[in-house]
Amino acid sequence: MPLHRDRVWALIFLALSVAYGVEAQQIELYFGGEDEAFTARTFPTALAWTGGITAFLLLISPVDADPRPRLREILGYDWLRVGALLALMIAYGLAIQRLGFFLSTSLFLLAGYLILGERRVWMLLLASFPVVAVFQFLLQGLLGIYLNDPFLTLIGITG
Amino acid sequence: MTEGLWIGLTTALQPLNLLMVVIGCFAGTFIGMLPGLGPISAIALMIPITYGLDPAAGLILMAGVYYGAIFGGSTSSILINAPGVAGTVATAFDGYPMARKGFAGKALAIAAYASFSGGTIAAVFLLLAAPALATVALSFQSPDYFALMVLGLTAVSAFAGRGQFLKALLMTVLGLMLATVGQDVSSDVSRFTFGSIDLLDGISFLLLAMATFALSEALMLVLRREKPSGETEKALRGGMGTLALDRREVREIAPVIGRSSLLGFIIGVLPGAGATIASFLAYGMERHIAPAGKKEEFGRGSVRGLAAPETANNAACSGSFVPLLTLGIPGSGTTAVMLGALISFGIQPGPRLFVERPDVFWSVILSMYIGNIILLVLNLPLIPYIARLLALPRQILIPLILFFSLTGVYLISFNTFDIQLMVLFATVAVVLRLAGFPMAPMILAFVLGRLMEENLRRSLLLWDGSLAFLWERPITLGISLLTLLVLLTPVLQFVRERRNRIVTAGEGG
Repeated sequence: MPLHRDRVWALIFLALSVAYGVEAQQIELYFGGEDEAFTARTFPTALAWTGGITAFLLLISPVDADPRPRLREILGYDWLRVGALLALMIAYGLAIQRLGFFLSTSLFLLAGYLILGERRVWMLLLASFPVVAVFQFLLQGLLGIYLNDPFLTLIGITG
Repeated sequence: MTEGLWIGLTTALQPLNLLMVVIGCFAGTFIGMLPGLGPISAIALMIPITYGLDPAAGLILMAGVYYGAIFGGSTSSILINAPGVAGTVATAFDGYPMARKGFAGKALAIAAYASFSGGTIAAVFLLLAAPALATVALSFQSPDYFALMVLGLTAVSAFAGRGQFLKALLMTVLGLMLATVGQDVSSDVSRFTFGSIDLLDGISFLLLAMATFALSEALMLVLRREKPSGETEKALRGGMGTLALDRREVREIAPVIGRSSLLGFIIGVLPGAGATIASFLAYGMERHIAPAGKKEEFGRGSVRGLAAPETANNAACSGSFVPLLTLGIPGSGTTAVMLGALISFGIQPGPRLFVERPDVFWSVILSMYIGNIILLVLNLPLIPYIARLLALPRQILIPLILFFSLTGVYLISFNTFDIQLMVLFATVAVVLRLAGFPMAPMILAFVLGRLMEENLRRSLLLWDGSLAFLWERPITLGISLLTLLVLLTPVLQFVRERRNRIVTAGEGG
């Protein structure tokens, strides 16, 4: 018999609470701090207990429906596109300081549109580079937010 | 109070602040219209902009976005039967049938008039209730605040929905756990940083709000292959019809608006309840008390059925500002995001706000009136055009939302670690959403976490480590008992349902 989805989550939260509680006991205290009414460990310890008890209650509470049809529905979702978008966001985070704001953000938008199925070239180009250029102008020109941009410096647009 | 009102009025009527209300209402309407994106996302997306403003202007902008998002949610409920926010689900019950009958314009007008009236009447209540409550709250001590926060968090979990209590409670604990990451304020000891310098300052509230709302909601739209744009185009092609109401309709909705305003405001003040519960209760109440002939119209395009939830959800929005402004304790996810933003401004909402920053306190209340007027005068006639923005293809809209969310956080810290952390939180949020875990209790708990720990620390030090602070003062005892009652409500409900099921099974078998 498969374990109900809610029970699996209860176990995950129970494990999380235990791990959090163990980690809470590793928090450093000042010499003699153990005897104080409140230390840096007090609140986290209380949270670990509350989380553990609540997760345990969820674990033993009765569940109604069979989770399998819902699972089938979830598996049918567009995970590929979401995965690609998540990977794109990570890549954006890695590239933003190396490539600069303008190029990395424009490429991020371009790739995002492509992942979601946009194929019109004029739309791809219009909704990426010009949008970022206007946004960057607003940031730097109007709001005075300095953006380090090696790419724009390389092509001589910024100093 | 008169002096404060005057300061608030002059602040709210400054050209920049008026502009903020207008921008807020429009931006909120647009974001609120997008199915899947709620007011929390709308406000979170605005926070990076507010950092460049003074606190009053920033909060005015966020209040405008809040109202706009609720109004925008109503628009998509009426036009395409896709409520942008939970608070406007009940609006679709009668709004969508009206639109299908060719009265989309009239339905939108009723929604706008009802929202305006509900928001305005409730803002009058707020004007009266907030200073009174702030005066009472000045006598509150740390144990009272701690108990109030526990009550707020428990109530948010208890109202999370059928069978959701324990899940919401777990999300609350998760939010509190995340709030403990970073340097401890009182001892400067680092906690749960795992040696990372990037985590020493703790997790940014904006980062968490953006990741768990704006980012994860946008990803959910992709995941479920939802295509709001096509439906909107279809609805707009059908035309809006007239925006005018006849005298009979006005007479019919006037008392509904009065009743629903009061109900919505009271529900909004209660921690955890908010616009969704208010709108459903108002709808149910009006259907219950409607005369026999009118009762049958509910669900088929009843003007009463549309006016009631629309009035109540806006009144509840105003009501939810009462605990935020007077106690510094938000009662909902949306006001929690606002609290987080206020704290970033260096302002601590609470009873002292009323005394120390009357400009912020009163200008926010007064900007609610202005926001309602803007929604009615500017947004309503422009709705067909604003709705056309929704026809922007999904494949263009979603990357733009992701871009605004990521850069909104990055441009504050200029730390790429924040982008990676956002992706991590957004992924976890998507998985948790699919498993039916609500996000609002988590963000509320996260915002309250440090305040809660600080008040617990003071209480325990004053009471020499004893938990007796929870019952020794009458106010704290009252709040603690109320918390116990709220905690027991889902348990009693469960026991009653179980008993009914056993009785039914016994009769059947």
